[in-house]
Amino acid sequence: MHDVEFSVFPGEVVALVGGNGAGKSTLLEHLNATLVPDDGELAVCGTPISEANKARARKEVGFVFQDADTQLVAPTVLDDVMFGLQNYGVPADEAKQRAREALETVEAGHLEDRIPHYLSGGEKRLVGLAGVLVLEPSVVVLDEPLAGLDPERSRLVAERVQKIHANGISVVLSTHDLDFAAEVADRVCVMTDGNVVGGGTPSEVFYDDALLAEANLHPPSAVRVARDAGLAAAQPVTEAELVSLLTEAGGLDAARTPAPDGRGRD
Amino acid sequence: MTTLSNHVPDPRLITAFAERRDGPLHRVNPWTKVGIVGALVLAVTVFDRVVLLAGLYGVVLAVYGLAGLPYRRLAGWYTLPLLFIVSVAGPLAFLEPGTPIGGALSTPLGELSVTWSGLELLGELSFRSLAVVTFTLAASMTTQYTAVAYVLGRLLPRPIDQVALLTYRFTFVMVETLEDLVQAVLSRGANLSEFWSNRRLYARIFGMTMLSAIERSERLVKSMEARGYDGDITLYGDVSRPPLRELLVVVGSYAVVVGYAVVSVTGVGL
Repeated sequence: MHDVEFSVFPGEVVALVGGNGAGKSTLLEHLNATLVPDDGELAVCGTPISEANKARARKEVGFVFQDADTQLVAPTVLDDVMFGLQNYGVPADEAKQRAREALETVEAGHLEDRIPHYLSGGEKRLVGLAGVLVLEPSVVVLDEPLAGLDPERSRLVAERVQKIHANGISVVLSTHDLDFAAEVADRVCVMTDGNVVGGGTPSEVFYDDALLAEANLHPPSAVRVARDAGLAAAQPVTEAELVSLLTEAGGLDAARTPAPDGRGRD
Repeated sequence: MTTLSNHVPDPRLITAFAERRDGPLHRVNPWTKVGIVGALVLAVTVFDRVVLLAGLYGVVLAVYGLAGLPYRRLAGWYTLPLLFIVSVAGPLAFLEPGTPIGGALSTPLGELSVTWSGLELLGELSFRSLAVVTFTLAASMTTQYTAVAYVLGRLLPRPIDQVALLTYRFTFVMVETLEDLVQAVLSRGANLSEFWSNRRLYARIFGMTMLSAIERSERLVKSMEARGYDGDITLYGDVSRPPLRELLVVVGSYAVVVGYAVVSVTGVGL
């Protein structure tokens, strides 16, 4: 990575998008000082971070790794969620209480006695998220949160991300899924070859063909359909925005009109 | 779960038994189990009669069963200790003097034969090993992680206790890596049934397991550091002292073993 300038502001959701090897994970790992830059400055909540005070970055910035299996280190889910609190010396009773609350936040309270290694991929992801939320970070970083999940589990994780954001926590995530990025992000940054090559609101980024092409990315499905339907001027980026535009334009009413043979078209 | 897990004690399954089941041995104090393991190790060292060792092994097997643990799994997990026993005690069985059972086999190196003493030696070593292995498995399958961690923290000096606790965590990584690799080679048509004819493949799997496990362990440490781990695993929990009746059982076990040793040394027959 080189010449990277990247900031996250309170309460926003930032999506890092880019192809494989673009440097998304490497950049994310700098945010909680899992990696410390050789050159340049890393600051968390205004405090410059170095090898000496990286514990501060780890307290403020929670990191959910892409490979959930390597994040789960304890024999039961509850023990695993308590792991971070143990490291910060929180008393056992308080840690247990807070771990249960964190599991409830991601609606995984029913998993507390389960053995992490027997959970499904989606459940592991939620437990990993709870293990980070329990530390009450200002920022949560998620590296490819939907990787390897089926559509239902992806929807579940996306909902939890939005719930975390609604609680006032900043979220930074990397993803290949631009539909997901369009759904959850306030700001999108495009990475390629270890550098942030562009960024802006989802509409600005996903309608910038040159920028997406530079990163070998294709626009989200809502953008492609909007272009085909001649609605690109309004720049919808999510399915909901597209449906709303189509409804306003009367396109959906026409589609819902029964076909001559009596069968509905929707 | 691959067939590999049938022959290698699976730490995930052991954890599942320890954390989720509730049998009579689960309710025994962890310190009592540590004491019994010590007495058992002493017993298999001191006892020198095959009948006594067989009896001891029988008692351990009964305790294993009473704890509600599965015999079928145990039989599979005996593969590794039996390999060890056969490779060490097998040749010794041929070296014991006495009357050959069923005649001698002529070989270029001389005559090979197994005697009753040789068989007895094989039996002794098998019962010694299997008694300890079985009880250690029973103890690990009935003791929760927090108690194991606490006991390790009290018994071992730093940083050895930290190494032991990290080893526990990395064992899961190692087993999963091994399973992934075995599945990968099987899915591409490999045959692992014959060890000797597939020795190169076994060597490759072993090498790759080491390399992959190191890489995954690094990721594991990185994720632990991301949650505040700074080289010192803090432990919650406390294991109370064992109740009097359990203490008496432990003391009684040591008394029996020491008593046997004294009687053996002083020459009084049992």
